[in-house]
Amino acid sequence: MKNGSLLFTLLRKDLRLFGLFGGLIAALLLLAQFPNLMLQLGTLSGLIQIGLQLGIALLILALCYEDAVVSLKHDWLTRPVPGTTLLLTKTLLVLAVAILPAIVGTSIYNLSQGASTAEALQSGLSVGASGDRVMVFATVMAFAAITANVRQAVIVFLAVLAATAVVTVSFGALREVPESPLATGSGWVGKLTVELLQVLTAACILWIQYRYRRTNVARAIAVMAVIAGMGILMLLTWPVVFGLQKRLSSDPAAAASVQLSVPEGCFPSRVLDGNANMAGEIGARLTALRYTEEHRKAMGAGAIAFSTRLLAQPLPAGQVLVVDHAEVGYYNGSQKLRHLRAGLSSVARMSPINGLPNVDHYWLLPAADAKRFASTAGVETRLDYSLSLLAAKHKVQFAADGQRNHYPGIGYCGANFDRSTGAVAVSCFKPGAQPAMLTAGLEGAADSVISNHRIDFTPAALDFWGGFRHRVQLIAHGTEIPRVEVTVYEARAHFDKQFTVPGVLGGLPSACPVP
Amino acid sequence: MIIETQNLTKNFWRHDAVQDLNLAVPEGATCALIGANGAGKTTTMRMLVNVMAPDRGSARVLGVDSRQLKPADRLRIAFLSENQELPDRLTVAQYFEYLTALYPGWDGALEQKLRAQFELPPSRALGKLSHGMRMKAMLIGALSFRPKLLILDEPLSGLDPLVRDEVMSGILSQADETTILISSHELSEIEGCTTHVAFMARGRLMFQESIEALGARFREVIVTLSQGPDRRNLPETWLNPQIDGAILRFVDSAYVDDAQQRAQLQKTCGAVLHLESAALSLRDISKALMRSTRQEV
Repeated sequence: MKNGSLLFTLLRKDLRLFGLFGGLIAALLLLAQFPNLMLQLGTLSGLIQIGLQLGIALLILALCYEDAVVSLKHDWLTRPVPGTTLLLTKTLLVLAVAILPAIVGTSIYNLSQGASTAEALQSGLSVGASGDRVMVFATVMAFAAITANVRQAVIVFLAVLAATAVVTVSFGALREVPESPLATGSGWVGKLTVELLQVLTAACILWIQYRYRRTNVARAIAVMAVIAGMGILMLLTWPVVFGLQKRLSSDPAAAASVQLSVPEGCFPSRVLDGNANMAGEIGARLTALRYTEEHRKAMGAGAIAFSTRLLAQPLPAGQVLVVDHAEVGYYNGSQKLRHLRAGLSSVARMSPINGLPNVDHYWLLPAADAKRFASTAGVETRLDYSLSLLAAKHKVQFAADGQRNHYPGIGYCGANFDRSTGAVAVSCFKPGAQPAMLTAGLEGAADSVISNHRIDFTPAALDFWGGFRHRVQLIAHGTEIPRVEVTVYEARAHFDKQFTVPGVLGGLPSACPVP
Repeated sequence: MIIETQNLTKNFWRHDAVQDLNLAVPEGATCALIGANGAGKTTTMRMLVNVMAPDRGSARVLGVDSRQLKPADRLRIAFLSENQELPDRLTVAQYFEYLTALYPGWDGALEQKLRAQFELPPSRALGKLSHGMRMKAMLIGALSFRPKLLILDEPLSGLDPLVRDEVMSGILSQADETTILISSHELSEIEGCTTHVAFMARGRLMFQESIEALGARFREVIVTLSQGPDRRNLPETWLNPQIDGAILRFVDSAYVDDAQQRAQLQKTCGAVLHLESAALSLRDISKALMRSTRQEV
C-alpha cells in the first residue's frame, strides 16, 4: 500500500474517532485568539483557556492511546501499518487541531486590527506555532508514547511533579533566596539547554517507540532526561551562565570605557524586629524582591536589611547598562564567610538619577551572621556585579495615529492614542530573532519604557523561530496625537565588576557599626 | 516450516514466561498450542507476531525473523486474540472499510459472506458489540485478507456453544489454504481441525507432534492386578496413577500396543487379571498432561 494512501486511511479512521472532539477544540482555540472576544466573556474566558490547555493535552493523549505503542493488545500492532506512518498521522492531526487554528485565529485577528497580510501571517505563525507550543505538544506525544493509558499518564505525571517539587524545594532551601539564572538576560543559556534536551528527548522517544517499539529504552531515556534536566538547572550556576555569556560579547573592549563606583559611606540599613516587620523603603523593596514573610522570619530577630547602590559615569548617547546579577559576599582575608543574593529582580536597567546611571539592590543579612561578623575582626564586604552594555541599534519615530508600518530591524510597529485617558499603546511585532531590549518613549522625553519582552541576550542564530509582539504603555499629556520613539538595543559587552569595602555595612565597624 | 522458533525465551522479572522454546509448524498444518493458564502460550504468540520482543532466541515466521517483520509481511499474517483492543468507537462497517484500505488483497466477497453468516450489525460501534459478536468481527478482520498464516489466541474463550460453532466454521473455511496456530481451552471444538499439537507447561514446550501420533500414544488404562502395585515402581510415562486396592488407573503416554502394555504391566506390577484401555480425546489428553505437570510442581 502506498504511503499516501495509508496515511489517508489512518487519518480518516482517527477523524472518525476524534472528529467531534477535535473540531470543538479547534473551534475554541480559534476563538481564543481574539482577545476582544475573550474579554467580553469575562471569567469564562479564563475557564476556556484552562479548558483548552487540558482539552488539547487530553486530545493528544487520547489520539495516541487509540493506537498505543506501549500496548501489547492494540489492533494496529499486527496490521500492515508502519509505526512511523502512524506517528506522522498523529502529528498531522495534532497540527490540524492544536496548531493550525491558533495560526489562523491570530492571523485573522491581526488583520482585523489593521496589520498587513505579511505581519498577520508572521504573527499567526509566531503564536500558533511558537517553539513553546510545539515543544509542549511533542512532549505530551512522547509522554503518551511511553504510557499505556490516561490513568497511567496521570499517575506518572503526578509522580514526576512530586519528585520535581521535592528536589526544587530541597534545592531552593539550600539556595536560601529565590534565585534563578533563567530569569536574567542570560537565562537563555539554561532555557535553551533544557529546551534542547526536551526536544531531543521527545524526538528520540517518539522515534524509538514508533520505529522500534522499545518501551523500556524509551522510558529509560525519559527518566534520564528528567534527571539530566534537573542536573543542568542545578549545575548552571551564575558564574557558569555568565561565563558563557561573556564569551559571546560582540565588542568586549566597549566595557573598558564604562566607569563604575559604589558611593562611599555606610549602607542604608534597618534591623528587623522579632516579627520580621519592616517599615520604610527597604522593607517595601525587600517584600517586592520576594523575600517572603517566612523567609524574613527565618533570618531571625535582629537580622539586618540594607541596600547598596551602583553608580556609573554618564554613558555615550545610545548606550545603556544593565545589571544582570548582583551578589554580596563577606570575606575574612581570602576566606569566604557568606554570600547574599539579591534575588530575581537583580536584572535592572541602570536609570539615570541626577544625571548618573545607578541601580539599588536590597539585601537581608541573617541575625546570626550579623552577630558573628560584628565580633570578627577583619571582615570585608565584596560586591559582585555582572553587567551588560547595550547600544541602540535601530531607532524609529512615528505618530500614534494607529497606522502600522514595517521598520527594518525593528519590525511592524504602530501606536494608538486614547484621547480620553492619554494612554498611548505601542505595539511592535518583531519576527525572528528578538533584540536584547526594546524600549518605547514619547518623542523628546527623557524616559523610555522597556517592552513586555524581558531583557534577553539570546544570540540571534539561536532565536530564529517565531517572533514576539512587544507592547509598551505610555501616558501622554494633551490631546494632540503624540509621536513615539521606539529603540532596539543590541548587547555589546558583558563583564563583571567587583568592589570591596571594609566591615559589614559599608565601612569599618567604628564608622558603620552592626546594630 | 511456516513457524520455527529457536530457544525462544521471555522472562518477566523473575517469572520465566517462555523458556528455550523450539517450535516448528509446517505449512498447511493446524497446530493447537495447548497448556494450562500461564503456560506461556499467549507470550509465545505475541513474540511470533513481534508484538513482544524475546529476551533470547529467535523466531522465523513465513521465513522472516519475527523481529524484522515488515508491513508487507503482515499482509500475510493474521493475529486474533481474545484480549485484542479494537478502535471501539468505529462502527462495524467503518472498521471493515478501514481494514479494506489496509489490505490490497482484501476479499470483499468473503467479508460480505462472513458478515452475513455471522449477522453482524453494520452500524453498531465495535465497543457496543457483545463478546461473541466482537470475536466474530475480529475473525472476519483476520480471515478476509486471506492470510497465509493465522495465529489465534483463545478465539473461543467466553463464547456460547452456538457462537463457538460459528467461529469454528469460519476458521475451518480457511483451513485448506492457511496455516493455523491456535491456542484454546475448548479442545473438543478444535480437535476436528487440528493436525498438530504442541503442549506447553511452565513456559516450556513439553512436546509437539501430529494429532495422529499423539492420539496413538495416549491411552486411558484401567487394570485389575493380583495385588496392589507399589506406586514408586510405576514408570513416569504412566500419568496420574490412581491406586484403589488391586485396581490401577492411569493414562499411558507411551502406548504402543496392547501386548507390549500388558507385558510392561506384568513386569512392573505383577499378574494382570483384567485390562481395559481406551483411546483419549485431545481434551482428555490435555487434562491428563496438565494434571501431571501440576503434580510435578
